Amino acid sequence: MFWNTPEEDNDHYESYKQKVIQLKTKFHEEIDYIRSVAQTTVANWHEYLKTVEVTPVGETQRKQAQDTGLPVPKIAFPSEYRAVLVILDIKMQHLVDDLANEMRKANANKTLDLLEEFVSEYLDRMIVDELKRYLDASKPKISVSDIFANASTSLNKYSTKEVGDKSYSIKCSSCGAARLEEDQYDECFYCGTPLFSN
Amino acid sequence: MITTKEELIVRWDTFLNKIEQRFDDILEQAQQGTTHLVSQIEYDSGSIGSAWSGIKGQLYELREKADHTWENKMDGLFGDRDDVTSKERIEQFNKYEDLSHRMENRYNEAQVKAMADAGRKIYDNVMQHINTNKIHNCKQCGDQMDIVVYSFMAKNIKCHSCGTVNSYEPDPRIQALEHYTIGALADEHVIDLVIKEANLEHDIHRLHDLRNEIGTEEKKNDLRKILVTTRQERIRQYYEFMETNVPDKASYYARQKEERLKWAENTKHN
Repeated sequence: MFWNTPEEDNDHYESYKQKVIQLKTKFHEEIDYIRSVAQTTVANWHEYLKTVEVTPVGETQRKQAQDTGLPVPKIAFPSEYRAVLVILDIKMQHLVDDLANEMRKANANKTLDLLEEFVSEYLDRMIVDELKRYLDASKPKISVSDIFANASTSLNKYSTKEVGDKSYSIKCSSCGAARLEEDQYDECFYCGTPLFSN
Repeated sequence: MITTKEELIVRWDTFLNKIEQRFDDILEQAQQGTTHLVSQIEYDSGSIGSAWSGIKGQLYELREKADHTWENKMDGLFGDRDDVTSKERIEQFNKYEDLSHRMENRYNEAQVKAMADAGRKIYDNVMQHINTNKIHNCKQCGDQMDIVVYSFMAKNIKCHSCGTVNSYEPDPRIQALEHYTIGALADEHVIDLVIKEANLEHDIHRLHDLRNEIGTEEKKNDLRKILVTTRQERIRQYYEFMETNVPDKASYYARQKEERLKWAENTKHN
Protein backbone atom coordinates (compact mmCIF):
# COMPACT_ATOMS: atom_id res chain seq x y z
CA MET A 1 0.00 0.00 0.00
CA PHE A 2 1.37 3.42 -0.83
CA TRP A 3 0.59 6.56 1.11
CA ASN A 4 -0.94 9.09 -1.17
CA THR A 5 0.16 12.31 0.44
CA PRO A 6 -1.86 15.18 -1.01
CA GLU A 7 0.35 17.77 -2.73
CA GLU A 8 0.58 21.11 -0.95
CA ASP A 9 -1.24 23.58 -3.14
CA ASN A 10 0.27 26.90 -4.10
CA ASP A 11 -2.09 29.03 -2.00
CA HIS A 12 -1.27 27.05 1.09
CA TYR A 13 2.44 27.23 0.31
CA GLU A 14 2.47 30.99 -0.14
CA SER A 15 0.39 31.63 2.94
CA TYR A 16 2.47 29.38 5.20
CA LYS A 17 5.70 30.64 3.71
CA GLN A 18 4.66 34.14 4.74
CA LYS A 19 4.04 32.86 8.28
CA VAL A 20 7.52 31.41 8.41
CA ILE A 21 8.95 34.72 7.22
CA GLN A 22 6.94 36.56 9.86
CA LEU A 23 8.29 34.20 12.51
CA LYS A 24 11.83 34.89 11.34
CA THR A 25 11.20 38.63 11.40
CA LYS A 26 9.78 38.37 14.90
CA PHE A 27 12.83 36.44 16.03
CA HIS A 28 15.22 39.02 14.59
CA GLU A 29 13.24 41.86 16.14
CA GLU A 30 13.33 40.19 19.56
CA ILE A 31 17.07 39.53 19.38
CA ASP A 32 17.78 43.03 18.11
CA TYR A 33 15.72 44.48 20.96
CA ILE A 34 17.60 42.46 23.58
CA ARG A 35 20.92 43.56 22.08
CA SER A 36 19.90 47.20 22.02
CA VAL A 37 18.57 47.27 25.60
CA ALA A 38 21.80 45.60 26.78
CA GLN A 39 23.65 48.63 25.41
CA THR A 40 21.55 51.41 26.94
CA THR A 41 21.60 51.86 30.71
CA VAL A 42 21.54 49.61 33.74
CA ALA A 43 18.13 51.05 34.67
CA ASN A 44 16.69 50.21 31.24
CA TRP A 45 18.17 46.76 31.35
CA HIS A 46 16.81 46.04 34.83
CA GLU A 47 13.42 47.35 33.71
CA TYR A 48 13.50 44.88 30.82
CA LEU A 49 14.53 42.02 33.15
CA LYS A 50 11.42 42.73 35.23
CA THR A 51 9.21 42.30 32.17
CA VAL A 52 10.70 38.86 31.45
CA GLU A 53 10.87 37.93 35.16
CA VAL A 54 14.65 37.53 35.35
CA THR A 55 16.35 38.49 38.62
CA PRO A 56 19.42 40.69 38.14
CA VAL A 57 22.67 39.51 39.72
CA GLY A 58 23.83 41.21 42.90
CA GLU A 59 26.88 43.40 43.37
CA THR A 60 28.71 40.59 45.16
CA GLN A 61 28.54 38.37 42.10
CA ARG A 62 29.71 41.18 39.85
CA LYS A 63 32.64 41.93 42.12
CA GLN A 64 33.58 38.26 42.33
CA ALA A 65 33.79 38.07 38.53
CA GLN A 66 35.88 41.24 38.39
CA ASP A 67 38.24 39.97 41.08
CA THR A 68 38.96 36.85 39.05
CA GLY A 69 39.90 39.02 36.06
CA LEU A 70 36.84 38.24 33.96
CA PRO A 71 35.56 41.11 31.79
CA VAL A 72 32.33 42.36 33.38
CA PRO A 73 30.09 44.26 30.95
CA LYS A 74 28.79 47.52 32.40
CA ILE A 75 25.13 46.74 31.78
CA ALA A 76 23.96 43.16 31.22
CA PHE A 77 25.83 40.58 33.28
CA PRO A 78 26.42 37.45 31.11
CA SER A 79 24.20 35.15 33.21
CA GLU A 80 21.39 37.72 32.99
CA TYR A 81 21.85 37.88 29.22
CA ARG A 82 21.73 34.13 28.98
CA ALA A 83 18.58 33.92 31.11
CA VAL A 84 16.88 36.34 28.73
CA LEU A 85 17.94 34.24 25.75
CA VAL A 86 16.50 31.11 27.37
CA ILE A 87 13.16 32.86 27.76
CA LEU A 88 13.24 33.98 24.13
CA ASP A 89 14.10 30.44 23.06
CA ILE A 90 11.12 29.00 24.95
CA LYS A 91 8.85 31.65 23.44
CA MET A 92 10.04 30.95 19.91
CA GLN A 93 9.75 27.19 20.39
CA HIS A 94 6.09 27.59 21.37
CA LEU A 95 5.43 29.67 18.27
CA VAL A 96 7.24 27.15 16.07
CA ASP A 97 5.33 24.23 17.59
CA ASP A 98 1.98 25.98 17.06
CA LEU A 99 2.78 26.76 13.43
CA ALA A 100 4.16 23.27 12.81
CA ASN A 101 0.97 21.69 14.14
CA GLU A 102 -1.10 23.92 11.90
CA MET A 103 1.03 22.99 8.89
CA ARG A 104 0.81 19.27 9.64
CA LYS A 105 -2.97 19.43 9.82
CA ALA A 106 -2.98 21.15 6.44
CA ASN A 107 -0.38 18.73 4.96
CA ALA A 108 1.82 21.71 4.22
CA ASN A 109 4.95 19.58 3.91
CA LYS A 110 7.05 21.95 1.80
CA THR A 111 6.57 24.80 4.22
CA LEU A 112 7.19 22.45 7.13
CA ASP A 113 10.63 21.99 5.58
CA LEU A 114 11.05 25.78 5.53
CA LEU A 115 10.08 25.94 9.19
CA GLU A 116 12.58 23.21 10.05
CA GLU A 117 15.27 25.10 8.18
CA PHE A 118 14.50 28.21 10.22
CA VAL A 119 14.73 26.22 13.46
CA SER A 120 18.03 24.57 12.57
CA GLU A 121 19.60 27.79 11.23
CA TYR A 122 18.47 30.21 13.92
CA LEU A 123 17.06 28.50 16.98
CA ASP A 124 19.01 25.30 17.60
CA ARG A 125 22.19 27.12 18.57
CA MET A 126 20.74 30.52 19.32
CA ILE A 127 21.59 30.60 23.03
CA VAL A 128 25.16 29.36 22.57
CA ASP A 129 25.95 31.56 19.55
CA GLU A 130 24.28 34.72 20.80
CA LEU A 131 25.87 34.42 24.24
CA LYS A 132 29.27 33.92 22.61
CA ARG A 133 28.68 36.97 20.43
CA TYR A 134 27.75 39.01 23.50
CA LEU A 135 30.78 37.81 25.48
CA ASP A 136 33.12 38.56 22.56
CA ALA A 137 31.61 42.02 22.17
CA SER A 138 32.05 42.64 25.91
CA LYS A 139 35.74 41.87 25.95
CA PRO A 140 37.95 44.93 26.21
CA LYS A 141 39.04 45.95 22.75
CA ILE A 142 42.71 45.43 22.12
CA SER A 143 44.22 48.05 19.87
CA VAL A 144 47.22 47.68 17.60
CA SER A 145 49.22 49.93 19.92
CA ASP A 146 48.31 47.61 22.85
CA ILE A 147 49.68 44.69 20.81
CA PHE A 148 52.95 46.46 20.09
CA ALA A 149 53.28 47.71 23.66
CA ASN A 150 52.88 44.12 24.83
CA ALA A 151 55.34 42.84 22.22
CA SER A 152 57.96 45.39 23.21
CA THR A 153 58.17 43.81 26.70
CA SER A 154 59.94 40.88 25.01
CA LEU A 155 62.23 43.16 22.98
CA ASN A 156 65.65 41.52 22.62
CA LYS A 157 64.64 38.79 25.06
CA TYR A 158 66.26 36.15 22.86
CA SER A 159 69.23 38.25 21.80
CA THR A 160 72.20 36.22 22.82
CA LYS A 161 74.37 37.80 25.49
CA GLU A 162 77.19 35.51 24.48
CA VAL A 163 79.42 37.22 21.97
CA GLY A 164 82.55 36.31 20.13
CA ASP A 165 83.75 33.27 18.28
CA LYS A 166 86.28 30.89 19.71
CA SER A 167 88.78 28.33 18.61
CA TYR A 168 90.41 25.70 20.79
CA SER A 169 91.97 22.32 20.55
CA ILE A 170 91.25 19.24 22.61
CA LYS A 171 94.35 17.83 24.27
CA CYS A 172 94.76 14.56 26.08
CA SER A 173 94.33 15.13 29.82
CA SER A 174 97.06 12.55 30.56
CA CYS A 175 99.91 13.23 28.16
CA GLY A 176 98.93 16.53 26.50
CA ALA A 177 99.00 15.09 22.98
CA ALA A 178 96.87 16.96 20.46
CA ARG A 179 93.83 15.59 18.69
CA LEU A 180 94.94 14.65 15.22
CA GLU A 181 91.80 13.58 13.32
CA GLU A 182 88.63 15.58 12.82
CA ASP A 183 86.47 12.57 13.67
CA GLN A 184 88.61 11.43 16.58
CA TYR A 185 86.22 11.03 19.47
CA ASP A 186 87.62 7.96 21.23
CA GLU A 187 91.17 7.67 22.62
CA CYS A 188 94.41 9.57 22.56
CA PHE A 189 96.66 8.22 19.75
CA TYR A 190 99.69 8.42 22.05
CA CYS A 191 98.67 7.05 25.45
CA GLY A 192 95.17 5.58 24.87
CA THR A 193 93.38 7.72 27.49
CA PRO A 194 89.77 8.54 26.45
CA LEU A 195 89.76 12.04 25.04
CA PHE A 196 86.27 13.04 26.17
CA SER A 197 85.85 11.32 29.55
CA ASN A 198 84.43 13.40 32.46
CA MET B 1 13.46 48.70 6.20
CA ILE B 2 14.97 46.98 3.13
CA THR B 3 12.55 47.08 0.21
CA THR B 4 14.62 46.14 -2.83
CA LYS B 5 17.22 43.54 -3.69
CA GLU B 6 19.57 46.31 -4.75
CA GLU B 7 19.31 48.04 -1.36
CA LEU B 8 20.14 44.77 0.35
CA ILE B 9 23.19 44.30 -1.87
CA VAL B 10 24.32 47.88 -1.16
CA ARG B 11 23.91 47.24 2.57
CA TRP B 12 26.06 44.11 2.36
CA ASP B 13 28.67 45.83 0.16
CA THR B 14 28.84 48.78 2.56
CA PHE B 15 29.37 46.46 5.51
CA LEU B 16 32.16 44.58 3.73
CA ASN B 17 33.82 47.84 2.70
CA LYS B 18 33.85 48.93 6.35
CA ILE B 19 35.49 45.64 7.32
CA GLU B 20 38.15 46.16 4.65
CA GLN B 21 38.74 49.76 5.73
CA ARG B 22 39.18 48.64 9.31
CA PHE B 23 41.67 46.04 8.09
CA ASP B 24 43.55 48.73 6.12
CA ASP B 25 43.79 50.82 9.31
CA ILE B 26 45.04 47.88 11.35
CA LEU B 27 47.67 47.03 8.76
CA GLU B 28 48.89 50.61 8.51
CA GLN B 29 49.20 50.92 12.28
CA ALA B 30 50.98 47.55 12.42
CA GLN B 31 53.50 48.66 9.82
CA GLN B 32 54.20 51.86 11.77
CA GLY B 33 54.56 49.89 14.99
CA THR B 34 56.95 47.50 13.25
CA THR B 35 59.18 50.30 11.99
CA HIS B 36 59.46 51.65 15.52
CA LEU B 37 60.14 48.25 17.07
CA VAL B 38 62.68 47.23 14.39
CA SER B 39 64.73 50.33 15.15
CA GLN B 40 65.25 49.00 18.68
CA ILE B 41 66.06 45.36 18.08
CA GLU B 42 69.50 43.87 18.65
CA TYR B 43 69.96 40.27 17.61
CA ASP B 44 66.50 38.67 17.66
CA SER B 45 63.11 39.41 16.12
CA GLY B 46 60.98 37.57 18.70
CA SER B 47 59.09 40.73 19.64
CA ILE B 48 58.19 41.41 16.00
CA GLY B 49 56.90 37.86 15.63
CA SER B 50 54.78 38.25 18.78
CA ALA B 51 53.31 41.52 17.58
CA TRP B 52 52.30 40.07 14.22
CA SER B 53 50.67 37.08 15.91
CA GLY B 54 48.54 39.63 17.72
CA ILE B 55 47.74 41.34 14.43
CA LYS B 56 46.66 37.98 13.02
CA GLY B 57 44.24 37.75 15.94
CA GLN B 58 42.75 41.08 14.90
CA LEU B 59 42.37 39.84 11.34
CA TYR B 60 40.65 36.73 12.66
CA GLU B 61 38.19 38.86 14.66
CA LEU B 62 37.31 40.92 11.60
CA ARG B 63 36.67 37.78 9.57
CA GLU B 64 34.56 36.31 12.36
CA LYS B 65 32.50 39.49 12.44
CA ALA B 66 31.86 39.34 8.69
CA ASP B 67 31.15 35.63 8.85
CA HIS B 68 28.64 36.03 11.68
CA THR B 69 26.91 38.88 9.93
CA TRP B 70 26.44 36.72 6.86
CA GLU B 71 25.36 33.64 8.84
CA ASN B 72 23.05 35.39 11.28
CA LYS B 73 21.60 38.11 9.16
CA MET B 74 22.38 38.52 5.48
CA ASP B 75 22.03 34.89 4.38
CA GLY B 76 18.49 34.84 5.74
CA LEU B 77 17.58 38.20 4.27
CA PHE B 78 18.77 37.19 0.81
CA GLY B 79 17.32 33.70 1.15
CA ASP B 80 13.86 34.97 2.03
CA ARG B 81 13.56 36.94 -1.17
CA ASP B 82 11.91 35.35 -4.16
CA ASP B 83 13.80 37.67 -6.49
CA VAL B 84 17.18 36.32 -5.33
CA THR B 85 18.24 33.11 -7.06
CA SER B 86 20.42 30.53 -5.40
CA LYS B 87 23.29 31.54 -7.70
CA GLU B 88 22.91 35.22 -6.72
CA ARG B 89 22.89 34.29 -3.03
CA ILE B 90 26.14 32.38 -3.51
CA GLU B 91 27.62 35.39 -5.34
CA GLN B 92 26.87 37.59 -2.34
CA PHE B 93 28.45 35.06 0.03
CA ASN B 94 31.48 34.87 -2.26
CA LYS B 95 32.07 38.59 -1.73
CA TYR B 96 32.82 37.78 1.92
CA GLU B 97 35.07 34.86 0.93
CA ASP B 98 36.94 36.99 -1.60
CA LEU B 99 37.45 39.72 1.00
CA SER B 100 38.67 37.18 3.55
CA HIS B 101 41.11 35.79 0.99
CA ARG B 102 42.40 39.28 0.07
CA MET B 103 42.93 40.17 3.71
CA GLU B 104 44.79 36.92 4.33
CA ASN B 105 47.11 37.59 1.36
CA ARG B 106 47.78 41.17 2.43
CA TYR B 107 48.47 40.07 5.99
CA ASN B 108 50.94 37.42 4.79
CA GLU B 109 52.78 39.90 2.56
CA ALA B 110 52.99 42.49 5.31
CA GLN B 111 54.08 39.99 7.97
CA VAL B 112 56.81 38.52 5.77
CA LYS B 113 58.11 42.03 4.99
CA ALA B 114 58.09 42.93 8.69
CA MET B 115 60.16 39.87 9.58
CA ALA B 116 62.50 40.49 6.63
CA ASP B 117 63.03 44.12 7.70
CA ALA B 118 63.79 42.89 11.21
CA GLY B 119 66.17 40.32 9.72
CA ARG B 120 68.03 42.96 7.78
CA LYS B 121 68.38 45.13 10.89
CA ILE B 122 69.74 42.18 12.86
CA TYR B 123 72.23 41.44 10.07
CA ASP B 124 73.46 45.05 10.11
CA ASN B 125 73.81 44.94 13.91
CA VAL B 126 75.78 41.72 13.79
CA MET B 127 78.10 42.83 11.02
CA GLN B 128 78.93 46.03 12.91
CA HIS B 129 80.42 43.88 15.68
CA ILE B 130 82.02 41.12 13.70
CA ASN B 131 85.47 41.24 12.24
CA THR B 132 85.24 38.91 9.28
CA ASN B 133 89.01 39.23 8.77
CA LYS B 134 89.83 38.04 12.27
CA ILE B 135 92.78 35.64 12.27
CA HIS B 136 92.74 32.43 14.26
CA ASN B 137 95.93 30.62 15.01
CA CYS B 138 96.51 26.94 15.67
CA LYS B 139 96.47 26.25 19.41
CA GLN B 140 99.37 23.85 19.04
CA CYS B 141 101.88 25.46 16.69
CA GLY B 142 100.53 29.02 16.34
CA ASP B 143 100.35 28.97 12.57
CA GLN B 144 97.50 30.87 10.88
CA MET B 145 94.37 28.77 10.28
CA ASP B 146 92.08 28.96 7.33
CA ILE B 147 88.84 29.76 9.22
CA VAL B 148 85.76 31.50 7.80
CA VAL B 149 84.42 33.75 10.56
CA TYR B 150 81.04 34.20 8.88
CA SER B 151 79.87 30.61 9.37
CA PHE B 152 76.91 28.88 10.95
CA MET B 153 78.20 25.64 12.35
CA ALA B 154 80.89 24.59 14.74
CA LYS B 155 83.58 22.68 12.91
CA ASN B 156 86.83 20.81 13.39
CA ILE B 157 89.74 22.05 11.28
CA LYS B 158 93.08 20.32 10.87
CA CYS B 159 96.08 22.63 10.98
CA HIS B 160 97.94 22.35 7.66
CA SER B 161 101.26 22.79 9.50
CA CYS B 162 101.20 20.46 12.50
CA GLY B 163 98.08 18.35 11.89
CA THR B 164 96.42 19.31 15.19
CA VAL B 165 92.65 19.40 15.04
CA ASN B 166 91.35 22.77 16.22
CA SER B 167 87.66 23.24 17.04
CA TYR B 168 85.99 26.44 15.93
CA GLU B 169 82.69 27.81 17.20
CA PRO B 170 81.29 30.79 15.31
CA ASP B 171 79.93 33.84 17.11
CA PRO B 172 76.42 32.86 18.37
CA ARG B 173 75.07 36.04 16.83
CA ILE B 174 76.10 34.82 13.38
CA GLN B 175 74.62 31.38 14.02
CA ALA B 176 71.33 33.03 15.01
CA LEU B 177 71.26 34.83 11.65
CA GLU B 178 70.26 31.56 9.99
CA HIS B 179 66.87 31.75 11.65
CA TYR B 180 66.30 35.45 12.30
CA THR B 181 67.69 36.83 9.04
CA ILE B 182 68.29 34.30 6.31
CA GLY B 183 65.09 32.35 6.93
CA ALA B 184 63.11 35.59 6.95
CA LEU B 185 64.76 36.77 3.73
CA ALA B 186 64.06 33.40 2.11
CA ASP B 187 60.39 33.82 2.98
CA GLU B 188 60.47 37.28 1.42
CA HIS B 189 62.20 35.88 -1.66
CA VAL B 190 59.30 33.53 -2.39
CA ILE B 191 56.32 35.55 -1.14
CA ASP B 192 55.02 36.23 -4.66
CA LEU B 193 54.86 32.49 -5.28
CA VAL B 194 53.17 31.93 -1.91
CA ILE B 195 50.48 34.44 -2.89
CA LYS B 196 50.15 32.84 -6.32
CA GLU B 197 49.60 29.44 -4.66
CA ALA B 198 46.99 30.88 -2.33
CA ASN B 199 45.18 32.49 -5.27
CA LEU B 200 45.19 29.22 -7.20
CA GLU B 201 43.78 27.33 -4.20
CA HIS B 202 41.09 29.98 -3.88
CA ASP B 203 40.21 29.70 -7.58
CA ILE B 204 40.01 25.90 -7.35
CA HIS B 205 37.75 26.21 -4.32
CA ARG B 206 35.57 28.71 -6.16
CA LEU B 207 35.08 26.27 -9.04
CA HIS B 208 33.30 24.00 -6.59
CA ASP B 209 30.29 26.29 -6.96
CA LEU B 210 30.22 25.45 -10.66
CA ARG B 211 30.77 21.73 -10.19
CA ASN B 212 27.63 20.84 -12.14
CA GLU B 213 28.66 22.82 -15.18
CA ILE B 214 30.33 21.20 -18.15
CA GLY B 215 34.04 21.84 -18.33
CA THR B 216 34.48 22.66 -14.65
CA GLU B 217 36.40 19.49 -13.83
CA GLU B 218 38.83 20.16 -16.71
CA LYS B 219 39.39 23.73 -15.49
CA LYS B 220 40.02 22.42 -11.98
CA ASN B 221 42.56 19.90 -13.27
CA ASP B 222 44.36 22.59 -15.24
CA LEU B 223 44.54 24.81 -12.16
CA ARG B 224 45.72 21.91 -10.01
CA LYS B 225 48.61 21.30 -12.42
CA ILE B 226 49.62 24.95 -12.26
CA LEU B 227 49.33 24.83 -8.46
CA VAL B 228 51.70 21.87 -8.24
CA THR B 229 54.31 23.51 -10.50
CA THR B 230 54.00 26.81 -8.63
CA ARG B 231 54.42 25.04 -5.32
CA GLN B 232 57.46 23.16 -6.60
CA GLU B 233 59.01 26.38 -7.87
CA ARG B 234 58.41 28.02 -4.49
CA ILE B 235 60.05 25.12 -2.67
CA ARG B 236 62.99 25.13 -5.10
CA GLN B 237 63.61 28.88 -4.76
CA TYR B 238 63.25 28.86 -0.97
CA TYR B 239 65.73 26.04 -0.38
CA GLU B 240 68.20 27.25 -3.00
CA PHE B 241 68.21 30.61 -1.23
CA MET B 242 69.01 28.81 2.04
CA GLU B 243 71.68 26.63 0.40
CA THR B 244 73.38 29.68 -1.05
CA ASN B 245 73.23 31.81 2.07
CA VAL B 246 73.98 29.10 4.64
CA PRO B 247 76.69 27.24 2.71
CA ASP B 248 77.76 25.27 5.82
CA LYS B 249 74.39 23.52 5.70
CA ALA B 250 73.92 23.36 1.94
CA SER B 251 73.63 19.57 1.85
CA TYR B 252 71.02 19.65 4.64
CA TYR B 253 68.88 22.17 2.77
CA ALA B 254 69.35 20.27 -0.47
CA ARG B 255 67.93 17.12 1.17
CA GLN B 256 65.02 19.10 2.62
CA LYS B 257 64.33 20.50 -0.83
CA GLU B 258 64.14 17.04 -2.42
CA GLU B 259 61.77 15.76 0.25
CA ARG B 260 59.48 18.75 -0.05
CA LEU B 261 59.46 18.55 -3.85
CA LYS B 262 58.31 14.93 -3.65
CA TRP B 263 55.56 15.97 -1.23
CA ALA B 264 54.45 18.76 -3.55
CA GLU B 265 54.08 16.36 -6.44
CA ASN B 266 51.93 13.97 -4.45
CA THR B 267 49.62 16.46 -2.78
CA LYS B 268 45.97 16.01 -3.71
CA HIS B 269 43.74 19.05 -4.10
CA ASN B 270 39.96 19.12 -3.96
